[in-house]
Amino acid sequence: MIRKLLLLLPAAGLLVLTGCPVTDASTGELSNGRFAYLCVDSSDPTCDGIVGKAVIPDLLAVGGAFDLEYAGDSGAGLVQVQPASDVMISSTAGTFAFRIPGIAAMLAKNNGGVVADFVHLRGVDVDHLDVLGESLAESIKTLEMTTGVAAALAVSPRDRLDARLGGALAYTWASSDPSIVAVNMASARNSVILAGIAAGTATVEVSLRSGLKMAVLVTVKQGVPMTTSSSSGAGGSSSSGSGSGSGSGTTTTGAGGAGGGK
Amino acid sequence: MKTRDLGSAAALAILGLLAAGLAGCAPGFDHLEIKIDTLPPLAVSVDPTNVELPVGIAVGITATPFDTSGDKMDSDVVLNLVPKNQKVLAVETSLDDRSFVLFGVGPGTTSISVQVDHESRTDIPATVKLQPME
Repeated sequence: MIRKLLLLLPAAGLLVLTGCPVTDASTGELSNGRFAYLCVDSSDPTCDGIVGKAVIPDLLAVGGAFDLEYAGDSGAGLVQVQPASDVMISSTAGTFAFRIPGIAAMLAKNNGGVVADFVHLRGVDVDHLDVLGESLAESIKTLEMTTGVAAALAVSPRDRLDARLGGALAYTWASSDPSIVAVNMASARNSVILAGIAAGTATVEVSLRSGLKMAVLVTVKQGVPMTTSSSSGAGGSSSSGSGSGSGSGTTTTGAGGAGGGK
Repeated sequence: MKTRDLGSAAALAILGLLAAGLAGCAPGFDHLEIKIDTLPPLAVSVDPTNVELPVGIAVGITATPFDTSGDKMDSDVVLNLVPKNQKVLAVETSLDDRSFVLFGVGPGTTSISVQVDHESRTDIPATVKLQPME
């Protein structure tokens, strides 16, 4: 029995080696190799904030940048990936983006111009933006925070059926009142760190170049004053602490300082 | 002796001519058959008489030329599918023998020249349309 088990061990090892699913690649439609999706920066939600490889997402945002690489099963030599139609997909500086919604093929061509393989991708318009809170689990429309405490927000592009879209998009974040809540860019373009400056409410808005916007109403409450703090922080705390009505006027100076510090 | 030599030479010449004649009478190209090898995500029409593709869609095919005797032409017969306007429709060879990839580049009409041993034998009309809006 033990001898039988020992005999089975190499086979089991082989199964483990060959049976490992390749999670970051999709087989080409001619079955000659695999395509891997590359996030061009960390703002692509496909890669969950990491620049790297992923399975090709079902849906890509129109205008969202992405890259693809191809590995042929028979080592087809140097292969270039390019769109079948530049009417559908643009190619700029080694990255691609859907120009218009639809389905379009990406071709893997070798040196001789022979098409080794291809894969179809689907591009859709961004219908709305979901703003996600700290947990990144659910979209939020309001946020409560306290002065002196940072809060993170991230945005996720969605289609009209609320499906998440891949591709790196350029977002612009703004606070309606930086004297209450300041917006600091995080490492990924789809996320920001908010800083509560003074008690009050302000709207933090994220927008795409297309004009699509999403706003979050942020309410900042006065936090417990820090016992040890810098001189500007102490000033901000004491002025806000003197009363919410006059505090907002006083903190304009503080906001200017915060703004200058960005 | 001389007469026998002359007779042999004449016989050889006649045989040579016959062989050349036979070779020249090899059945020529008759028609093309096309098999679609991939599953396009949108409706396409690809057959020897007509090609219709949406912009951006690629389809892998295997094209087989048949001779007038109804037989597949030998593998040493060179088959090329040459699009007349590559801004509308492109055709590239693929890795397998007589396999090609057709893809719609831009909207318009054109044709594909079917070339057998570098001679144009027939044209397949082709139309590439914009994708329907969802």
